[in-house]
Order: sequence, then C-alpha cells, then structure tokens
Amino acid sequence: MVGYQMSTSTSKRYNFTISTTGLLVVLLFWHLLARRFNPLVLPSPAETWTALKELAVSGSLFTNLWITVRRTLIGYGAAILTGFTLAVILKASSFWQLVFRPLITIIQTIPPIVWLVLAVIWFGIAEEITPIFLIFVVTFPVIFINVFSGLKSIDLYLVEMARVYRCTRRQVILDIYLPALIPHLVSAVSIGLAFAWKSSVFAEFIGSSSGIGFALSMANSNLETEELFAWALVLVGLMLIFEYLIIQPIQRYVTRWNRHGE
Amino acid sequence: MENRVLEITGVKKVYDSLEVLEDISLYLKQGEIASLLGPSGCGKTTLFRMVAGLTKPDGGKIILKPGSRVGYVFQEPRLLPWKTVEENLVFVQQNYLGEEEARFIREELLTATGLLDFKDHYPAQLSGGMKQRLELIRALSIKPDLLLLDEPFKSVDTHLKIKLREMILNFWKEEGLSLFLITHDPEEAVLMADRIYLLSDKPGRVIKTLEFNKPQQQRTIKDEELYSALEEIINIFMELNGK
Repeated sequence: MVGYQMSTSTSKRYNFTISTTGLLVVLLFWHLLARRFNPLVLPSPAETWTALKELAVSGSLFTNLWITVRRTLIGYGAAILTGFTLAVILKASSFWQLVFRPLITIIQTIPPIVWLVLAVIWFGIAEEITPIFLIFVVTFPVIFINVFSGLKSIDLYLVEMARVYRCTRRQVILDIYLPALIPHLVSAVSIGLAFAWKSSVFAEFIGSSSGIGFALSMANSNLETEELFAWALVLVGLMLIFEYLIIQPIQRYVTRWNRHGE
Repeated sequence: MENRVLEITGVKKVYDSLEVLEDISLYLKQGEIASLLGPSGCGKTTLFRMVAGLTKPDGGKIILKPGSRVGYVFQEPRLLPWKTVEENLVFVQQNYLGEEEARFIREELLTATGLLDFKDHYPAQLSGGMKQRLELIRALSIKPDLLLLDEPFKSVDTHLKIKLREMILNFWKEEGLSLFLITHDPEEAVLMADRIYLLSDKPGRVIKTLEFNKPQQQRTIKDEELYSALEEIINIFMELNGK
C-alpha cells in the first residue's frame, strides 16, 4: 500500500513537472517569436503582462470580469436547471420524449452565430439578455444530453433490489437515482462550461456593450493587440480556475465511492 | 397446514407467449431449507421474483405467511456503489427495524462475516468474496422469515463457497428462518436442503420431490442416503437431456 501511494505521488509530481516545463517552453517560444514581430502583430509576454496590470489598475479588468462571470453564471445556471429538469421529464414520459427530442437536436445543430444574430435582432445590442440567451441556448442541449444518457445508464437491478426491501419511491429517488445521476450532472457541467465561456465572450463581442467580450472588441478596433492578449489570458485563467479549483474537486467528491483501493 | 411460510399452488408464468413456468406447486415449512434444482433457464429465478413480489404470476397462487419478511440474495451482488458497507445495510434495514435493534444486528452480522473493519469502505474497495458476504448479510439484516438465495455460490471459488455455506447454515440454525435455495449443483442441494424440488427444462415444472431428515451439519457427500439421492438426481437429469 505504501509503495503504491509513493508511486502515485511520484507520478503526480512527474506529471506536474512535465506540464510546467511544457508551459515554460511555450512561453519562451512566444517570447522569442515576439522579438521578431511588431507588437501590433504579436506582443511579447512582458508587454501582455504590462497591459494586464494596466487593466487591473484602471479597474476595467474587474468590472468587465464580474459582468462576464455574472452573465455566464445566470445563463449557464438556467441552462443546467432546464437541461436537467427536461431530461428527467423526458425520461419519465415517452410522449414528451417524442415531442421534444427532435427539437433539442435541432437547437443543438444550429450554429451559435445564427442564434447570436437572432438574439441581436430580437433583443438588440447593449442588452444583458443577448449574451445570457446565447449561453443558455448553446449549453442547455449539452446538459440535457449528458443527463439524459446518465438517466439511461441507471442500474435498474438496484431499483429492483430496493423494491424487494420495501423501499419507498422517495428512498429510491434519493438513494439510487440521485447518487447515480450526480456524477453525470457534474461531468455535464464541466463539459458545458467551456461552451458557456466561449458563448458569453462571443455574444459580448458582437451583441453587447460591456463584459470581457466587449473589451476584446474595443481592444481589437483600437489596435491594442497587447490588451487583446491580456484579455485572452484572463479568460484562460478564469476557465482554469473554474475547472481545476471548483469543478474537479466537486467531481472527485461525487465519485469518491468509485475509486478502487484507499 | 403445518406452519407453512410459503405455499405455491399451480403457478404459471408466460413471457411473450413463451411459457417459462407451468403449473408449479410447492411449499416451504417454517424453519426448513428447500431447494429448487434444475437446468439453467428453467424459470427458477422467475419463481423467486414472483415470491419477492417483483413480478406477478399468470396463473395460480403464491401465499406468504402474513407479515413475513423476505430477504433476497441475488446472484450477483446488487450493492449500492455510493454507500459504504454499513450504509448498504442501513438502506434496507430502515423499513423494517428500529434504529437500536438495527445497529445491534448490523454489528453482529459484520463481526460474524469479518466485515466490521470494512464497514466504512465502499463496495468498489471490496474483494468479490467480501461483496458476496455483504450481499448475504444485507438479506439477513432485516431479520427475514424467509431467505431467498439465488445461486449465491455461482461466482465464488470452492474455498469461499464452503465458508459461505457454513455461514448460511449457522445463521439459519440460530435464527430459525426458512431458506429457499436455487442451485443447479445437485451436490449443493443434497448437502443443504430438507426438501429438493427437481425442475424440468423449460417450461419448468416439478418433476420430483426428494426429502432428507439428517441434520445439515452432519451431512457429508459420503453418506449413503445422500449419495444415492445424488445418483438419482443425476440420472433424472441425464434422462431429461437424452430425450
């Protein structure tokens, strides 16, 4: 057991070293490449860092960051709720499955740009609702499909066992359906999150007058490429924080029973 | 009727116009061990599912002694993977026993099967044999009057099979419960059962009933009576297959 633990922690450290080295190499490569180009085309890591600091000092960083995060949480939160509820309802009723299933596939296959154009037509620019709508419409099929397939994979033998032991419907839902479903929901949330960020910035870029996407579009039209890079960096950082500091620990927690050995 | 825990009369079951069971009649007295012995696919599990109330017969009657509790040991352990060993027991106990009594029984069973040290482990952290033991004590943890055992030794090795068999017989003797055992192994049936119901190939029906009086703990396969019963069973099955 001790040997096994040592080997996992060694391999973890090894993986971390490899990943960090890879990142440093990319950074170095970026730095070297930037020296050959005009900052307008490719700003260096140092210039990007300076731009980022300026954004932070001016207050623009946190204002826009918060706007984007808030919109994403609202739109994505609604998508999670709707996707989950709809998956449960459709699983329970074959009638509603026949009605809605093709519709969801259609929603999913329509390219985000079409939704965005429609949203701008329907809701106009400078509205909160445009980015929130886009996030919702892009991510809710992702949640729906993953939760739906999770529902299909529930082990009915366990439900049967519960029936033998006189378990109530409530016990079956709370102790079998829910714990079986939660890992699927969390992994659905993780998959959908990248879509949510991208849709959010995309919508702000074209159809809003605030948020990171809008700041990106301003930097773009003012030819402030280093600011563009700074915002991109912020987005990457944001995604990493959500993925590694929030979602992955939750994921590990909800699947803790699925790990072999201690 | 002398204290019967289970009485099955003329039970039929049809699945998609395929007759699985045809006119099954049998009974189980309080405190005895009966065995259903027959080729695979002859409807043994279907009969158990009807006794457990999971499916209804298409004809005939299944009468359980009023108020009796039925424990079911499934072929493959059906444990809740997200619950620990102890929580798996609590899950079934909650609908039968008070908290105090439930905890007492739990600890007794966990100790008797060597699982006490693993009570906070999840099923994924247990060996196959441990899971099978947990499956068994889960059924026992509700203080059943009737225990249905559906080939509980099917996927365990010989050593564990003997240990599990001993364990079951011990519980049976102490608790005075009734056991109903599905097996396709004649030796197992002869060693454990007070009465054996031999089932034919599909559609299943009882083709012979054998009774034994010798106490289970004293039985060995070298015993003359058991040995000749074993031969008889094997001959019947050979004849059936020859047809």
